[in-house]
Amino acid sequence: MRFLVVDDSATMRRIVVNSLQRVGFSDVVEASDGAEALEKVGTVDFVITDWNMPKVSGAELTRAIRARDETKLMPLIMVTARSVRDDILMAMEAGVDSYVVKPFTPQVLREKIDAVLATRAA
Amino acid sequence: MPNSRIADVLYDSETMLRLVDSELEELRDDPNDTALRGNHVGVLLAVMQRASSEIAQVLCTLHTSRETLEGVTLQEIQDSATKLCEVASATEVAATRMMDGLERAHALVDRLDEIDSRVGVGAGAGDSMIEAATTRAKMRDELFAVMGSLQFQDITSQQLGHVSQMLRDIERRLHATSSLLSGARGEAVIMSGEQVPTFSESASTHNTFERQAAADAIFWGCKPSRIPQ
Repeated sequence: MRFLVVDDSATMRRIVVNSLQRVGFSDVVEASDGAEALEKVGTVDFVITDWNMPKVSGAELTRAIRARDETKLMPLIMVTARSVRDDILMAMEAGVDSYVVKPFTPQVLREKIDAVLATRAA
Repeated sequence: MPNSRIADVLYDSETMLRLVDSELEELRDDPNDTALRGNHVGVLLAVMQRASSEIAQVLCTLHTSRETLEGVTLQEIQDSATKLCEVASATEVAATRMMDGLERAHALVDRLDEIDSRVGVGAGAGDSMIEAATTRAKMRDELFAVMGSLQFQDITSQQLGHVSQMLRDIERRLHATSSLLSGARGEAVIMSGEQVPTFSESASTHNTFERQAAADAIFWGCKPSRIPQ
């Protein structure tokens, strides 16, 4: 399974990529903003995106992915520092499959990935 | 009252005060002309009443502006100070965690050296292999925990972004107040470092598990199924 990790912070991208590798997912591509992510999303099976990014935010990216026929069913998790109720509801409205609050552990990320995949498979 | 209007009122008031001054000069020049004196006094009274009324308006506006500026700006300065304290705390906590993790990793390396020494002299090779594998796994956990602690950089970066925005707001208000007092005509102001916010006001390194649990409760409590049809 190939993952796309989207975050404008290079440090956070490395942490997410390493976390994925830590829990058994080694096929990962990266994007530093929403525009780059939209170029790469057609080549991956799962998207993990930050919210607060310049140009295209994670919420806008999610809506764009959901709006495309070829990617509208793409599993997608938002990993973000935003944790207030309205933000979570907005992310749900945009179409995210799960929500991880920063700072996170690889175990939490793995649980959310498994849950999303299990829901898809059901 | 907009800045330009306040400047107009101040200008008018100054003109009126000059008129009052002029009338007083004329009174001084003709101290014995009763009719002229009555006329001057009437003009003086009217002018002074207008001036008094407009100056009162300006003072009232300045008072309101000062209260607004003080109320909002003081709150933002307090919020900024709180955020900066959080950043200092998060940095300290992350540095301590990383140092602790690295010290534990260092101790594990020492342990591996001991195991190597034991194997070197041929003592309990089977047990040593198992212990070495366990020790290496612990060391990987420690090193990964150190990497996880580096997430503080992203969080504190967002907290500093929030402080930066509050300081820009304060700068904007102070500039507006400065313009008000100098009578500048509301020209467009280029503020420092304007940019699209890419931070979260709620970013924090505190209570991670509680915030994730709360997010899960909201997310799954409101979500019958997020799979698009």
